[in-house]
Amino acid sequence: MTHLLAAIGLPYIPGWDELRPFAADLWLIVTIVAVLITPFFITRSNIACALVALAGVTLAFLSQLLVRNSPHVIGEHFRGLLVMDQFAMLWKLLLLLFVAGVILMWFTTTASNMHEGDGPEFFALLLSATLGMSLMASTSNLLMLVLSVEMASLPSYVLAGFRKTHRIGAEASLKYVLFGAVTSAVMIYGLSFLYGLYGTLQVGAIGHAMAAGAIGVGGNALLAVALLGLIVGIGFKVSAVPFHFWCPDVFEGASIEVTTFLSVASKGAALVLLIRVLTTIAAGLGFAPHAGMSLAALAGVIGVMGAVTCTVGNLGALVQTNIKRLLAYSSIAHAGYMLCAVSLLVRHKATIVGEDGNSIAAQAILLYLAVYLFMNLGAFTVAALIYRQTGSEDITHYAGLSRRSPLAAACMTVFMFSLIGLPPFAGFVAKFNLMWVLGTNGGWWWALVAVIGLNTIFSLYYYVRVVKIMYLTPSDAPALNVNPLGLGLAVACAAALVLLFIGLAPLSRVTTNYGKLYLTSQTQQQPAQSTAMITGERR
Amino acid sequence: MTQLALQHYLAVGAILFAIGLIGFMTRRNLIVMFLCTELMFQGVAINLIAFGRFWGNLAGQAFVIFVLVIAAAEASLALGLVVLLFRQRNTLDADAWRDLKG
Repeated sequence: MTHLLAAIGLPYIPGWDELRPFAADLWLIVTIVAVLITPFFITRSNIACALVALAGVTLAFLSQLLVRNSPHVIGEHFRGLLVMDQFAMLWKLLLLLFVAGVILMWFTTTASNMHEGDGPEFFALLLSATLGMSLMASTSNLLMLVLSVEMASLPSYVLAGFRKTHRIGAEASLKYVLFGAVTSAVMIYGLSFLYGLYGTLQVGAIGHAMAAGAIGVGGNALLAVALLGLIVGIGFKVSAVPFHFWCPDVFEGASIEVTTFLSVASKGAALVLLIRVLTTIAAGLGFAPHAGMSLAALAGVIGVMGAVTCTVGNLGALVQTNIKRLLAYSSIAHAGYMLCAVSLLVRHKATIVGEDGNSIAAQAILLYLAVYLFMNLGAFTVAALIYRQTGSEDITHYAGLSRRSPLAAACMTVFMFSLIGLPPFAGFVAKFNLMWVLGTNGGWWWALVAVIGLNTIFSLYYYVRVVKIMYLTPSDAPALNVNPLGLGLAVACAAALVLLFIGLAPLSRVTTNYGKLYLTSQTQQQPAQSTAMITGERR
Repeated sequence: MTQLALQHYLAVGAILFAIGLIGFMTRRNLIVMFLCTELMFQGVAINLIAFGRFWGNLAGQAFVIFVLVIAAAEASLALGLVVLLFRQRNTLDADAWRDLKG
């Protein structure tokens, strides 16, 4: 038994050098345990759990900041199961910052009426999903891909239905689980063919095997099934168009901080994962548009999907009156914009990947996510504050908000204009950068620029409608006494949007520096030779 | 008598997967729908084991263990949810839950 294990390199004990780059993930694991055992020491523990979770996320953020771009850090770890590079680093930082914001938001919304004793579970689930989303940025292996996606999904299903007695909460969770289970089965089915065609789970090795033309069984039809499965699974998480039905329902049914969490973290993680996997495969193919599977065709599929997604999202938002549903459709639209940028990944190497693995598309999406995080956190925070005071999520109840709570109304205006993409707010920088990157590639990418431009005009209507109701519709409703912590969070987000617009040069420098993906340069791990076949020989 | 080759295993996997997918789309009973997703996962597992045997490495088998765990986790979560939903409406018909739309 022992020599058998030794033959496949077990027992495997990761060294400190391998663990240190993933300090943030390890802190998250420690925090999950800490949150779960908090009630043993402190009674009436919801607030205590939230504080422990906040402290843990802060520690994870700080430890991630301390990870340097040294050669020990950048590269594959744990025998190629996980990869760490600048791209993953910045995503982890953004994610942890956002989760800290969501926990702060929880204090202002659900803290007072959450059932006593639910706190530990809620935060354990929230942090587990965060861990999954953090690992999604680091996957370079199909097994880790599936595990991290499920690690992010399963806690999200529970979080969506966390308000157990709430009627629509359970329905939201049901829809989420039903579609989620099927799409993840389809995704794993597709991935099983990817493994079957190339005999390895390493994404980098699959790309190289593809380039070598080593298509195993069945050929291109099976490869198409494999990639279709991947796109279905990730498309569901991103809420790309044929798979977006769950999104508005789940967002409306879940409690508001869960909605906030899902709107940015879940979609961002899926986009980041898509970039990682597709770029790694495309790098193996040398970014040649017609090598192996046709990269150009894949880019076309993703580009069309992005264009349709943002159009459907914006058109769907036009008729919404519930603020959570409106923001849900808005988040579908924003995911569509980012999907358009993903289609750039498979363009040829000269324009997309610089000599040091710098990816323009990765940079555009990181910048977009960095800004989008503040816009959505802020907009949902204001919505939560108003919900807490009026008990309504209907935007008609925002009438006269400029008088009832001037600061909240001003913040909401900033978020709405930033979501449209108007200067002088950071939303403009993000959107302009995205369109610029698409435009500089020329070709049919100009069509995507046109679609995004047209969609901006559609989106003007429903975002401005919210502002119009707040400022122009008269109302004799009493002044709102909003929670000061929540208002502070909203003001901080609005200030961040203005500051990021003023500081757009440093912002774009950071995202350019961090928009680098680690790509395996040479064929490293040839698929193992077939030893025994059921028929005795390989076809 | 012909021997069993890779494609036979893939065919069984594909049939299981297809039965699961079709069942999921046509049936309206919540428990049957979740059973159908389990069927889809079993199809995936057969695929992975067949490919693992074909390539002669352990990756496929290792993957299957994880897929089974994921399927079990998803099933336990889903069944817990079904109990919760049944208590609210006293029915297992999926069409009973259609308050969210638009």
